Amino acid sequence: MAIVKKRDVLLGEIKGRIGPVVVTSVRNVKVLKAAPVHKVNKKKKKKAELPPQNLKLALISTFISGAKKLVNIGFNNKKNVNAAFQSAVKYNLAHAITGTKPNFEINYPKIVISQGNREMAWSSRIIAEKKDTVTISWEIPDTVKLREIGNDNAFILCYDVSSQRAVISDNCTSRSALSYTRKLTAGSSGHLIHAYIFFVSPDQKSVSRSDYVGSIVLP
Amino acid sequence: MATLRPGSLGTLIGRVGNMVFYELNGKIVGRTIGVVDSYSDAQLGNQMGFGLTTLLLNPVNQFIRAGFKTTPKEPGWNFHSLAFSLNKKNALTGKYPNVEIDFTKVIFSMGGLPLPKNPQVKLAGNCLEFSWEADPETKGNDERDQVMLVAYFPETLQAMTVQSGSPRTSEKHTILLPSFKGKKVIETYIAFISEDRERVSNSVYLGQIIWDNQ
Repeated sequence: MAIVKKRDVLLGEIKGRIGPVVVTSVRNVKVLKAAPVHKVNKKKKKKAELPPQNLKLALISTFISGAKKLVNIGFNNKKNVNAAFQSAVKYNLAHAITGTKPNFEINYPKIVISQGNREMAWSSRIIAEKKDTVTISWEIPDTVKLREIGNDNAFILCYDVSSQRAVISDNCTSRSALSYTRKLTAGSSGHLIHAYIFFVSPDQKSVSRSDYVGSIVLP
Repeated sequence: MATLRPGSLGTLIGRVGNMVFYELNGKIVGRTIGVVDSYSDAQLGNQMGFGLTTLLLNPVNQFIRAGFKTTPKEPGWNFHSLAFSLNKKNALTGKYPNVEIDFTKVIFSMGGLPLPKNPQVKLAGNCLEFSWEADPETKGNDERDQVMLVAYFPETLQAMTVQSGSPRTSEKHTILLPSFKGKKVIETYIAFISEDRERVSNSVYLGQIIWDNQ
């Protein structure tokens, strides 16, 4: 893979395939890659024939893709060699999969969408008082200095298992607000929702580990 | 390529094969470099121990900052290096892949300030009640020493900490717990710190509290 170091007169704003080469950009860096080889006769393998890793990876990648916006903040660590998405997939692949081949499942309480040293959410809860609406609440213990963490921003993920859809609330409220109400997609009645929460400092330099709030079936 | 720098025995800086030598915190260190194909069980155990100790100390960072501030350290070490070293060596049990934290051996502060007699903790409703006997006659005690407390939740790796609690003479301090759902295990610790923050006691494990509101 070649990297275009500076603006190239020859390449200009070219993007796409030129013969055996593909010009694209990866994380805002323009790169040249060999084009993938098209295998015409390759038979699509059945689910049971795939290696376990493929099945697990598909599960986790699908989940994390929906929460990519949050994961990019939660796993954004300068020390990490891997990008945030890869780090999140790697962690959850190792910790949040249960079952045996070919019936792997996501262990939702074990999913982590953010890693950091900031104070986690305490005693978080999810309730659904109205139709298509969930309220997530949390507490701040007496032992914590409110002036240090009270202005932290809350980031919340509600994952609808039934429709496999992630509803993201980024930067939605402050930690001191102690609760947040989120309207979900209309017609979600009867759907199972898993919720996660983490906090980010106002300067965005420090994040907490994500907390699994719980699950609820919408009325 | 490594270079030999002037010195009584010379100093090697750079890469020789799969080893690299460089200066780190005033010391010349050497380590292997490059992709490692496989790790031995001992290496994996060490990595797991590092991970566990890091997770253990993260939520009590402010506490150990005070707890190990005045403890003698090797040159270039800080409070975290010392806390990490002590707990990794003493508070981990088992062999890979079953390395675990032994919470009875965890240390969150170290120093010469005397501890009071008979420190205890009990669960009273939604509160953790810590108590002790001040024992004012013991040499080195001061009535203005303050209690430091840790309530550690091993399942979620969270901790509630108090760094400047009640004075020694008040003989009790209460921590209000959040309203947890279900069963919670709480590991508790106590230590004391002088008013000027220059002297600190060893931390003492007070025991495990089980919270269950079901």
